[in-house]
Order: sequence, then structure tokens, then C-alpha cells
Amino acid sequence: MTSGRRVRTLFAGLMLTALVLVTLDARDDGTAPRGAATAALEPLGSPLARALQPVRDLDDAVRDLLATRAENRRLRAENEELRARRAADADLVRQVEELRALVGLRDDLALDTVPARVISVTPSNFEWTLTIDAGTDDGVTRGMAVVSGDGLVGRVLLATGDAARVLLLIDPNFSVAARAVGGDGLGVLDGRGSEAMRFAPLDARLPVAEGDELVTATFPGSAVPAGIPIGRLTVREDTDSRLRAAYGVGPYVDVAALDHVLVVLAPPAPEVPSLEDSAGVPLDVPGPPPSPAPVATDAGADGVDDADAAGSG
Amino acid sequence: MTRRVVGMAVLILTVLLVQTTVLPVLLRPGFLPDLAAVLAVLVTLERGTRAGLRVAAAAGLGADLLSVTVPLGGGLAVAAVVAVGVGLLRPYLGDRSDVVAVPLAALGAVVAFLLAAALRGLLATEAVLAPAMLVAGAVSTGLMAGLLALPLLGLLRRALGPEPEGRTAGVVG
Repeated sequence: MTSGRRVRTLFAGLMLTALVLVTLDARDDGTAPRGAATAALEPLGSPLARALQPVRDLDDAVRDLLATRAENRRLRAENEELRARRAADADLVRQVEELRALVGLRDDLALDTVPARVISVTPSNFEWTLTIDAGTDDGVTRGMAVVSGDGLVGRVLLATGDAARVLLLIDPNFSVAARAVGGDGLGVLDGRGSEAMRFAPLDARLPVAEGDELVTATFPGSAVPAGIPIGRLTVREDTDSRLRAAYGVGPYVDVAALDHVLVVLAPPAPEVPSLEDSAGVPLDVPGPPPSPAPVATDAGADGVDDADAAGSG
Repeated sequence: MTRRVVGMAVLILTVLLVQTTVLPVLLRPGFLPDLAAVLAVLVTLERGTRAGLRVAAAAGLGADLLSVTVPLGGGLAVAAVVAVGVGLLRPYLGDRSDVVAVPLAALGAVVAFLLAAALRGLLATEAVLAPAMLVAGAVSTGLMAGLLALPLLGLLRRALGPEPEGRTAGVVG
């Protein structure tokens, strides 16, 4: 038998054996011979596997490290995304609360208003204004009060068709009649820019105290309705005269965090005619009080006080 | 002769241990090269087709017995086919140097991988691999077989010893 024929015979025999084994294995699951082979190799395989355990552990450690790094990167990215989403949610919650307060104030004061969004805020050393997206097309005119859910924001300075510039209540040029709720004291509120606003009661003797709430008051020619919250009196300031009082005022409104406001569509309060224009108009003035006791010092003080108060008004 | 038979038996046992214990640790979870087929390739190169077929029979059947996924007889058939293929190429290879052994071992591993995949597909013992996985498996097993070929060839030469005088290539011992 030649070498080539022997090879062919051997190959054919092997393929036939393989075919038989495959067929038998397909009929039976071959568990028995496989179990025997595995058991036979077990005495050698187990020590080898134990010897390779450190390699396996090292491999596991490297894989875990790589997986941890990848997971760390993924979690960091996810964390950033969640933070951004949380910030957006917080801003939405703030806007909802702002709108809710806005609606509440409008309902409380029964005001006819126009809603507007704040387009830009311009706080500088010389001008404290903001721009809103409502203008004359919406019925907004110069002088109208602008409020947020927290209270008075300012007054319309300039109105165009679809936008308006609002003078903020902290602007040094802003001034409005105000009333301290606790002491019932009427006075004038002035903005002072970056410093706290200033409230000067018309009558220093009126019982006004620190902590009193300040609201707007009606004033002839003013379109700012009465009763809109402004802020709280903080500290009594020193004045050059004990006949004049002044208080610092902390505003309720944070002008830097405004998104939505309402423009109060109230017409200006009617002007009272001046004395020169009221010639011939019968005045219903009560008569003088019956014979006051002439005390020189008190009368003088009252006279100065009255004059001073009138001047302030 | 006895020394060579014992040497070959030890080598086959070593190859099976490496195949079932070492490679799964080092290459987890990659494709494992069929070392029985690689050994059959190297033996065929060194000692001829008949010797290669004998080793393919022993190593292939051993690998089949130690595997739970390969059908019994499948590894044997694959290793035998690879050995015969290398035996057919052998007259044209000329110098049986290490340079020829490495690419042939890699090629043998690739063919063995593809044959085993085809056999599993025919017998439907496992899900048929996707083409991309087949390519990845072929490349992976080929590279690993190429890397292991030289050390395996060294062990093989040590186990077989010098080729007997006056014997024709193709016979072990």
C-alpha cells in the first residue's frame, strides 16, 4: 500500500469515525464520554486553573477599572444633564410662582391689567429701567404702573407700539405717593439707585415704625392706583431736623429676577384745580376752632410744622 | 518510538489544557483558536500528512470531549480536513521553516474556525454567526494561532526529536 493510499484510507476512516460520532452525539447528548474526559483532565486542569487565578483576577481588575472609568464618564455626563434639567425645572417653578403671584395680586386689587414679558433689564449707575413687550397697541401709555406678583415694579416711562420702557422704582428719578400701612402715615417714596429707597412721611409725628409695610397711595395726576405693595420700612434715617423723618425701604420686588409683569391700565387720578382756577367756587371750609389758648411756643411750632408738611405735600 | 509517542501524548494533553484552561482566561471573552487543528498543521508540516492525521484524530477527539458546544466528532473532522489540506500544500512549500509554519498555522486556524462555524450551522447546535462576527472570529483566531505557532513548534520538535534516518516524511515514529 503506497503512502498516498494510506493517507487517503486514514483520512476516510477518520471522516467516517467523525460522522458516526456526530450522529451518535446527535441522538444522545454525549454527556457520558464528555464527563469522563473532563474528569480525567480534572487533576491537571484544576491546579492549572488555580495557578491562573491571579491572572484571571488581574484581568478582572483591569476590566473592572476600565468599566468603572467608562461608567464614571457616562455618569458624569448624565449628572451634568440632570443638573441642567434641574436648573431649567427650577426656573420654570420660579416662573410659575411668579405668574401665580401676579394673578393673585391682580385679583386682590381688582385691577384692569395687561400682561407683559420683560425683554431686558438695564440697571446701570445712571438708569434703572426695563423693557417690556407691551406697548400702546395694548393700551399702555406713559405713567401707568407696572407691577409684579410681589408688588410695584415701576412706572411706564415711554411706550411705543409693541414695547414700553419702564422706570424702576429704585431709579433716583422715581417718586410715588406711598402710605405706611401700620402707622397709616402718608408720604413720598423716592428711589435712590443702588441704595435703599427712601420714604419720607409728610408728618414726622405720625406713628410710623420700622417694619411697617409700604403701599402706594393715590395722588392727583398719578396713574398708580392705591394699595399696591412696595416694601417694608427698614431703618429710620437721621435727618437734619426732628420735624422731618425718613426711612429706608426694602422693596419686595427683585428687579433682577423679573420675567413677567402686569401693566395697570388705570387712568390718572383727576387733578384738583388750583386755587387760582377755583375763583368763585364755593369752598366748604369748616370754621376756625373756638378760641384756642394762646401759647406762643406751641403755636409757633405747629405753624412751622404745618408749613413744612404742606411744602412736602 | 515510545519516547516520541509519549512526547506527543504529553504535547496533546498540554495543548488541550491550554485550550480549555489557559486561553479562556487570557482571551476572555474573545474567540479561541482551535489548537488541535494548529497542532495538526504543524505536525503535518514536520512529519507529513499521516502523522498529522493521527494527531488530528487524537487532539480533535480530545477537544471534542472537553467541549460542551462542539458536536462530538466535529473537532476531529475539522482537524483532519485542515491536516489533509496542509499535506496537499506541503510538496509545494519547500523549506519547512518557521516562516512557513506561522502563516500556515494562522491559515489553518482560520479554516478550522470557519469549518466549525459551518458545522455548527449545519447541525444547528448554535445560532449561526453573523458575517461580521465570522470575520472578527476568523481574524482573531488567525492572529492568536500565528502567535502561538512558534512556541508550539518548539515544543513539538522537542517532543518528536530528530527525524529518523531512512523514514519517509508522513509517518510518526
